[in-house]
Amino acid sequence: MRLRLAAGLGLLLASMCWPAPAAAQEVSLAGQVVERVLPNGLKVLMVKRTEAPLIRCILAYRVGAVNERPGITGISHFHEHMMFKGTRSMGIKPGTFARDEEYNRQIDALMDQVAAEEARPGARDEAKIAGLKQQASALLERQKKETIVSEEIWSAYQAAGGTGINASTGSEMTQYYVTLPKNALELYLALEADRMVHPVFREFYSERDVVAEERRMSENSPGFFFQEQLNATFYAAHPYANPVVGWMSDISRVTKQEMIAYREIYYRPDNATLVLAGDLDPEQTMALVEKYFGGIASRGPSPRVRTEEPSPFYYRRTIGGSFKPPFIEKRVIGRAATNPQVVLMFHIPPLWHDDLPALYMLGRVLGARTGRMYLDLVQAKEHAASVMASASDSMYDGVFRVSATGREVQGELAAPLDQIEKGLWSFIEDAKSVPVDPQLLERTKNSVEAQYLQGLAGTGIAGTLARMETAYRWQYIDEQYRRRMAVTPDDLMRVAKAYLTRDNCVTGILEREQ
Amino acid sequence: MLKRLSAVLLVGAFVTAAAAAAQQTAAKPRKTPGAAAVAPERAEQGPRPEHFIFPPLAFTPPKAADYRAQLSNGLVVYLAEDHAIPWFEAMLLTPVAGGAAGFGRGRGAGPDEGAPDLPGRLRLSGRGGSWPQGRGGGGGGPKSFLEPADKLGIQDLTASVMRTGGTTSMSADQINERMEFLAGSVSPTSLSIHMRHLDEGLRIWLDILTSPAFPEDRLRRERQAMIAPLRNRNRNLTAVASDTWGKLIYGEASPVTAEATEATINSITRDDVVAWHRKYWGANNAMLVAAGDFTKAEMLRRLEATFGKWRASEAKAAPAYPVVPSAAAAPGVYMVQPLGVTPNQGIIRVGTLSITQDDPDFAAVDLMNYTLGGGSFSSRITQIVRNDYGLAYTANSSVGAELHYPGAFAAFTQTKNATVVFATQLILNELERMHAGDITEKDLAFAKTARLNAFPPLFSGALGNAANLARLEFDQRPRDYYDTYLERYRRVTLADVRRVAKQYLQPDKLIVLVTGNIGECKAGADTTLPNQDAIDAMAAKYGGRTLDGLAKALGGGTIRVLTLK
Repeated sequence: MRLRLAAGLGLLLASMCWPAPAAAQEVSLAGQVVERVLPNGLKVLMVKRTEAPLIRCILAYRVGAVNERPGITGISHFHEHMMFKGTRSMGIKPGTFARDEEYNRQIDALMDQVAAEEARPGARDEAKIAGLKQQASALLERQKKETIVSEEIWSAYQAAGGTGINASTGSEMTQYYVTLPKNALELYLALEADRMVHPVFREFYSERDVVAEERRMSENSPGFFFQEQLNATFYAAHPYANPVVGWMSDISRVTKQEMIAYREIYYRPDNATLVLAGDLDPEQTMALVEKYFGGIASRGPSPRVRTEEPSPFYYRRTIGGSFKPPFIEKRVIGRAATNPQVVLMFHIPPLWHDDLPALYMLGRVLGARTGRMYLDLVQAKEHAASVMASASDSMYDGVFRVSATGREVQGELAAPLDQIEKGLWSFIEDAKSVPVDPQLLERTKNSVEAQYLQGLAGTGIAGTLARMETAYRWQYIDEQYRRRMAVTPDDLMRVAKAYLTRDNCVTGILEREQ
Repeated sequence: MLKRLSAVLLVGAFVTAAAAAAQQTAAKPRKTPGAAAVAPERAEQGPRPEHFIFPPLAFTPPKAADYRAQLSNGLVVYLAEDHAIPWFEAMLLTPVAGGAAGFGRGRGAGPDEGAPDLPGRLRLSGRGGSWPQGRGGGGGGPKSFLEPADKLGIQDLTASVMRTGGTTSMSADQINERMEFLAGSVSPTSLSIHMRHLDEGLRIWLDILTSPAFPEDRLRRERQAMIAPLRNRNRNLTAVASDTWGKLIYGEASPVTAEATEATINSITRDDVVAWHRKYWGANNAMLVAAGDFTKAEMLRRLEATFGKWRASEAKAAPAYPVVPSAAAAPGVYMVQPLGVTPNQGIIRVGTLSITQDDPDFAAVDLMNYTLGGGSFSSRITQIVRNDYGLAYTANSSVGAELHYPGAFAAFTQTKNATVVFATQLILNELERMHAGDITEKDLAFAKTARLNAFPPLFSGALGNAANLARLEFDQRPRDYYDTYLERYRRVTLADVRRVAKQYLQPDKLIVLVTGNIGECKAGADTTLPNQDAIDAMAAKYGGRTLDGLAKALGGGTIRVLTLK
């Protein structure tokens, strides 16, 4: 099927060389997306794709680790796990709801005592805690035999031919997704609407243990602790400092009441986006969406994160004038059984900011395989095995990252890491004062354009829409692309000067564990 | 490795009969989910899958003849028209590509399709561990079984320097700049480019395939890059677990598990690489799959003018697939500890040698395994080890679907040290249950439905469709594999499933491998953990709470502790 691209694309493709940015502005996603908003605030985005009789379905909530406070870190992700435990009608044998609730109450009462004991200052009564947990696990064993039907939501999607079933949690967004045969769409809408409002958190404490095991898996992966500490050091104030999985102390002790209070705030139709891409008819689809989601009450918008990172860039932006915080250097030095690395992280604004298109392009040209930094550090001097640069597309305060992997020859570094660090800085300074090779910028724009074009095909667009609508607004996918294509060499030097400064940088050095 | 299994057909649409039952009653904020304030009989109203009936949705897999053609030099090509955007995407199937043997960036539906890009930020896939773990192993691609034992790594090295070393007419930097300008990407086994620049893209690709320069400095650098990650392999829990498992199943000296080492990589000279390329990289050892905004006839002309001139190499790449002994290691309990680290979890694998993917029993084994541990959250091992007792994020079982030698059946989990023995016992218990025939018509029906309904998504993109069919020919498999898939799965009976469980899951043939902190993993659960009743029940069945007890219970053996060099 041929996509209904704007007419301008034909022109664009007909020109002999790659188009100037102006021509590219005629390509657009806007005409392909059908947007509806239910009275309760649920936003619905639909895209028709008829290559296969399938629909990619995503329900995205604007909630993630940034919304957490100390003590409940990891709760967004843990809650996402709990959304698979069922509802009032799913996950239990028919006719056992009251019995099931009674089990939940009894288990909660025991585990509330555990929480109280664990919260006590001084030495805890470990024998008492073990005894209570033992009683709770024995009750759960009985509950499983009597009422629980494990994984009924997941199994329903599998039986319907669902693929790519899963959910994921990040710092900013939690999403639930599956690709279904087109005629199973109604099952999806019914189940997702049901668990938006009626989840039942049975098996809460065993699932909490599962999440702890999930964190341990990461802990056993070389370099995990370094990256976690580097990120937590980079953000002193902003909750981006929280690892998505949570700190271990919080994972193992978060309570069910805390989760219920948390979901009340963020699991609302007003805070969610439903994206459907595939072989669908928008009007018929909307009738079904209204049937299942229409009865859910609006709860008003969910709160946004207020805290901004107090970086030098923050003070320049908000106060202006001559005030400048004193110079502070933050470095994280680690060792791990993995490739040695140098990482420079700089504070930058959120994705909607006017400087972001230029920062994005700066990342692309600075890290390019045909760029000056790569050609010198990797190719000519052979100090680094690879170099990279990129700007994040963050909902809140972001990061510009410049990094290198050390080259090792016969077990020895070809160049010490501090020399590589100096090398990275020399190319950062270079980016501030020497205009980019215009051909490199042109090549990079060609590639940005190709990626944009490829992104418009297929059902992968669903994920892009969910992400951009959650972080900002989906229409910005087109705008962001056009603004990136309009970036000039002067823009690159300007943002390099503004953001890639020593006082705005946190450095990470990872040495190989010998 | 995700099993590309398959199944067949369908079901689909829905009639929503009783969807009225799915009424939403969320007018007011609830104090608790499933709040007790709601009367039970009302509270239980809500959607149920049985409210939605799916009449069959016809789906017929595409046919090879729709895609297949042959150039005058004998090169077989599979061409799929895809007019969504003016783009061209192609891949080369060849047994000698090593890690470069990637598949193109198709636009099919994958588990993480469209996953947003959040650089620098930790992303978690929520329930991610639901897929069987791959055999892991080294960073290279599929084995060719053509490499000399003292030159292991030559196929990866050759393929990567073909791209990074430039050609006799274009330097690597020139190729990089040109491809960036054209906004395309090229490797020895793939090309992705705007249709407008296709002719130039094909010329560069063919140049890389036929006239690589193999400059010494690139070879040297590439060798270093291949060696660096090998250095810490024995410190990495996951890598040690999968390497050791492969050696137990296939044997220390088997070509299946043989890995390139610093010595073999350093021994590969430029002459070796040039000779390897001359011997194997030719039209006689490849197949080309392409999709894009073209008509098949027009594309055949353009390929004839370029790839039609690609000559044969010196030799036919006829891999010598290894003869795998029925059991390389004796059944029993093995342990290994990574060097220099003290992990807080142990990795458990329990399994044995299995069958090939085209074995007549494969569908029955796959359906049996779906219930056992291959059906992600709908399977027993996942539900028991993960959901019931909260012991692990990942718990599953898989049937290694190798084509030319038997794969391994393996149950897998990774749990904290104190619950390693308990989790191992739970897995063994499930294997024994299945071996004894404890599976019902309902279990089998569910597994079949899921497999059959997940068939259409295997054919959801032009390049993937063509590649699926091309691979059958390339791998010399039955060409009607997809046409008969539905039937192969449908005709499996409960008796079949019970028979294969009895035949392939024999408890006295099982190898148990625990990788982690040996002392802490051996000790078993103490009395502070929850689920003491279940721990006791397993201990009673399997020689107590310790791994020593388990080893004794399994045929009276002792734990065999392996050491790493």
